[in-house]
Amino acid sequence: MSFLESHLLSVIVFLPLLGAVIALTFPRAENSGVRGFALAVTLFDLALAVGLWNRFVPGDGGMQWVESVEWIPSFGIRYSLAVDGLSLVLVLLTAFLAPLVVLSTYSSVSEKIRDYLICLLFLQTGMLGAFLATDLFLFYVFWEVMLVPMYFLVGIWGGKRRVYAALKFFLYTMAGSVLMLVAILYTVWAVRDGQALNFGLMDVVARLQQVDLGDAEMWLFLAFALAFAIKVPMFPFHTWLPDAHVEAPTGGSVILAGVLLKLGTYGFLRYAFGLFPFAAAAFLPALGLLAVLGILYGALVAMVQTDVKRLVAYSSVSHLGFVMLGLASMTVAGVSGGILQMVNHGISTGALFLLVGVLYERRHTRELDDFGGLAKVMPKYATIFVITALSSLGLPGLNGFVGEFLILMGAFDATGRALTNSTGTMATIGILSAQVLGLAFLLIVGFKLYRRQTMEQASLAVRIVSLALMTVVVLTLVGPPLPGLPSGLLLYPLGSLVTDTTPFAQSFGVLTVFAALGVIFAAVYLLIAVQKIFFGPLRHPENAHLQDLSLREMIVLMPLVLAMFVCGVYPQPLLDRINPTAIQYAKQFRERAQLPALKPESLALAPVSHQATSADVKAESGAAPQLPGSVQESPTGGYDTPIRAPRRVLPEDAGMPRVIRKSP
Amino acid sequence: MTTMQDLGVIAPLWITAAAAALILLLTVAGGTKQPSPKVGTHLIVVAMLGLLFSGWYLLQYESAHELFSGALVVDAVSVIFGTTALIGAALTVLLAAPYLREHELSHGEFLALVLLSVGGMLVLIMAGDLMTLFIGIETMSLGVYVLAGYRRAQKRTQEAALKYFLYGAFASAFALFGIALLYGEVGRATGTPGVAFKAIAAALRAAPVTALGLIGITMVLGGLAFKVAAVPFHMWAPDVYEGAPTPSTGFMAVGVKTAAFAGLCRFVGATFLARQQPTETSIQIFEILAILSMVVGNFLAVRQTQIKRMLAYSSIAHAGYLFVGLAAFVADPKGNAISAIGYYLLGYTVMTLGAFGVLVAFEHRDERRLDMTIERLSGLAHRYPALGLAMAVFMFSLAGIPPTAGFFGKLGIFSAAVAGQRISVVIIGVLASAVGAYYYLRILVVMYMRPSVGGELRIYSRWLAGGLWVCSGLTLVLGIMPQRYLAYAQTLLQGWLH
Repeated sequence: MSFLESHLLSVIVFLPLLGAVIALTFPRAENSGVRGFALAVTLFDLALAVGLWNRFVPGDGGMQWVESVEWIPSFGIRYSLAVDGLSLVLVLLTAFLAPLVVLSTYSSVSEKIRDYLICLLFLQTGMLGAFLATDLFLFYVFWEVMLVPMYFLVGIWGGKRRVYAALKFFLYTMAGSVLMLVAILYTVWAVRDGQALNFGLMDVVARLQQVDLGDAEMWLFLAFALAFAIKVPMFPFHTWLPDAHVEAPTGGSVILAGVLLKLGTYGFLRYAFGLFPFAAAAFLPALGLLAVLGILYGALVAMVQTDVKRLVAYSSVSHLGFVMLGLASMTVAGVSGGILQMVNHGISTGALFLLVGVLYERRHTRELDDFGGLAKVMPKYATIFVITALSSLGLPGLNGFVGEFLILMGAFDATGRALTNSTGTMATIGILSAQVLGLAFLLIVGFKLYRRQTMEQASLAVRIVSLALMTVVVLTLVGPPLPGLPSGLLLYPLGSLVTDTTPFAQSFGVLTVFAALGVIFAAVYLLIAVQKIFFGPLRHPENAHLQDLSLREMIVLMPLVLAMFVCGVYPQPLLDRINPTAIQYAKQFRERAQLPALKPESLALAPVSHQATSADVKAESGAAPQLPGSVQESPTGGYDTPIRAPRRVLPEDAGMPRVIRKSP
Repeated sequence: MTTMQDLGVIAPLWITAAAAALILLLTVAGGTKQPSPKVGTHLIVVAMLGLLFSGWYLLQYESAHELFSGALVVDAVSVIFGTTALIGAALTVLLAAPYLREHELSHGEFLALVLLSVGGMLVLIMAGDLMTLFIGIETMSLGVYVLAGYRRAQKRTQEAALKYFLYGAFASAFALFGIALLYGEVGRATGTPGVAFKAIAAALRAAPVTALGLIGITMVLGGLAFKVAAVPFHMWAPDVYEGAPTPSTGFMAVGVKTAAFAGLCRFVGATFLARQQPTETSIQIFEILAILSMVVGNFLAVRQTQIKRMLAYSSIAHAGYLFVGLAAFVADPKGNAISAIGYYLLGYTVMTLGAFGVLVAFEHRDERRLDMTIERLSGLAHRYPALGLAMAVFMFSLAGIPPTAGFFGKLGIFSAAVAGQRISVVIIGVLASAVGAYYYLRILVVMYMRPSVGGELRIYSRWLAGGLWVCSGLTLVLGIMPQRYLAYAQTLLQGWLH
């Protein structure tokens, strides 16, 4: 076994750092070839990440490629890395975005380019390390280390108020994470129990099941949750994000939105929920509510923005609300969708920031009112922008939809998709009003798009495409539920108001309704932006001669557009890797938190290729024939750790076994 | 044990003294005029060699020794804190070399004073009774008083030296009075008056402490807290830090703190931990000192415009973190609090002297420019990338960002406190350190994110460059690979006090 084989994760993590150190030796002059070098490093890292992807065993929900060596034995700290479905897709996303960001610097960064790239590479090591670390201390180190290069990226290469934004970003994140450090220390000491200190994530999780933390568990969870909530950022901790985004250079924004924010959601799932399921379960509805507030608030605020970048920044608040809602539902669909949506958001929003950067480089303004009618001047740019916007607002066929759909479904399914009398009524009213509002908004947008626009100004193709897409959106949201097709997203919950008494489920039922509203809002603000930039008369003569996308810019953007289509049409390879992990997280969480267990058929939602299911599941399924593309729940399947308390199994609901459609 | 063997054991002490004497002799032999750079160089070499040998002897430590009827103790604490003090002195020498030349100050006396006061620090660190402790404090302080006023032509420096001396003399008198009270207390309890730590511990175990004894303990504690500039004994620090020559300020911040904390550990061990079970109140005393220092230091530092004043408040805050360590020590004497304090002080030494070293590089003789405002560093990181990067390392370390010594130091201290179930003080500590990040980052904001004002030149010196390499290297190495030091310190300290 070669060195690369046994240390693949370490190599992936530290290759960019090595690159950064080597880049230090390049001359500081502009054309020193340092860009080419950084590009080569990031591409090589991407190749390694793809290699990891290929060799990852899809059906296994546990940790793979474990690396572990002693680091600081006096404190029980190990250098340990491992990858599961969750971190795999995020690592791939990070490695995928990095070369694109480096490419984008050819036009977006003109001074101190070497230092810029060093920061980027350094940042990449921090992010990859945080995703792959399986030791609490190591995770914290990477988590904090990331702040440093990002701080410089915003502070040195940012806009007018860069210093303010950089400081705000740093201090907000740090304020949250220091409390997490205390929580880490407390947890590690609390579970020590006469044995040696141990910061290893799995060991701490295992020990936590034998030790009762009492009331402390709640505070520990809150400390972790605060750190991650600031990072995500969840409403109301989001105020640093628009500032940081607006002031950050294009590359910084892409990384910030594309990857850095995912560390918050990632942290919630793996650390906050994984360590303290019992306390977390109590807070899940609250988290769900905050997530939905974030969805709505972010979307509403995005609607009134005049600065495109700020608009995209607020849309991130909204989109990450979806991710959090999915994770907080702790169903397989929700968690799967949440993880998938992390990737989708990275692709779509990363592309949006790149696009905004392209515009800014040409006009040095991002005010919506400074544009208009660009579709004619920059047709290629307009096409890509519209596709990206549609992907971001969750149009079926593009990537955003799959994730959002799974999330909404998962959230509604939070324990058996059911609502009782009063809540049920509320939900009905909510759903109905959501539909009415959504239709109203769609109509308004439709009018805005087409009434102000004469035939000459919009090319026929653009009109046909957007009309067709609009129809699909409407159908998806409010169309009749068609078998085999994703549709009736808003009608679907209506049909399933089955009785159940769990308040957990009730709260999520209501939340889902409002979250669905966010989908519509997203359509509104993004289409408003599209309309203001690309359609209407060409009001400003400066815009008449803007250059369309150059070849290099196309090279940067095309992989992202491609990824949007691939993930939208054929998300199966991603889901194959995400689902086993999601199943494991959701099942373990529910058992340890003593939440109602998931129904077997909700596990069937997770399409796992047959040969990839873990060995014990196979053994179990020997008796009962197993459908290909599904995995059956087994008493032990996927459990590595002993269970603290016998789980409470709800009686099977007769109306339950309803096959949930697979996502397209 | 024979006298010769005793002398061997305390070789670190007399080596520094001998080196100081040699430097003074060489200075006199070189004439009374301003020394040429060359003269300075051989003096620096002698000083460095003296410190190196002293440290080397200290590291030869095998087992605990008591000398001069227990007046001096060479044990684990002596080794751990002593080496840190010597490292601080050696780095100060490297910083001082270009500074003294730039400001046309004599090398010989400065170096001799550094060596003599580090000798005083070693005495304080090795003290086995309160009298030796007091002698150590005074020897150390007298040297530092003069060092603080070394740039004697400057009014502000004079003010700083005088202030430091007056406050310091007052605090010493305070401590001395406390020692006298304890002397009486020991006599009352055991029949034989004395000030040895062992005797004090025995007395406190033998009989409940009287009010006078408590006052004595408080006064000694206050005297030592003054030396480390803990709130509420910190008033002198900002003015003195600002006025004193920069290398002296650095030495004052790290060396004195290291020695005084060694003294505090011993004193706390003899008094608060005399009985097996520490009372809640005794832990709270240290927690209150810690919280006051962390909060006051960090919040007041935010408002500063002068770098050295800011670093003075930062030093107060760091004294606060160290007091968290002491609280943890009282709460859990068998834990790793002492090694955490030792590690913290070593990290603090390299990062603080590094930061002062960067300031030395930008500090000019020019009278008008004596004010080291933060604005003066504008844009310098881009003109001098290596210095900028070094300053970034020191600032992130002071702020407690991994992977630096400052981070792991805080982790160790807070971890010890958590182990002793002192959670609230830890929470206040980490929040205060988040506030602290603001002002450390502000220096980086100015250095990296503001346009250069131009016309600035830095002082270049091989000594200084070497010193900064050592500081930044150690800051990172200690942060990334703390295991060797931790294992060494923890093994050494095993069973100390018990």
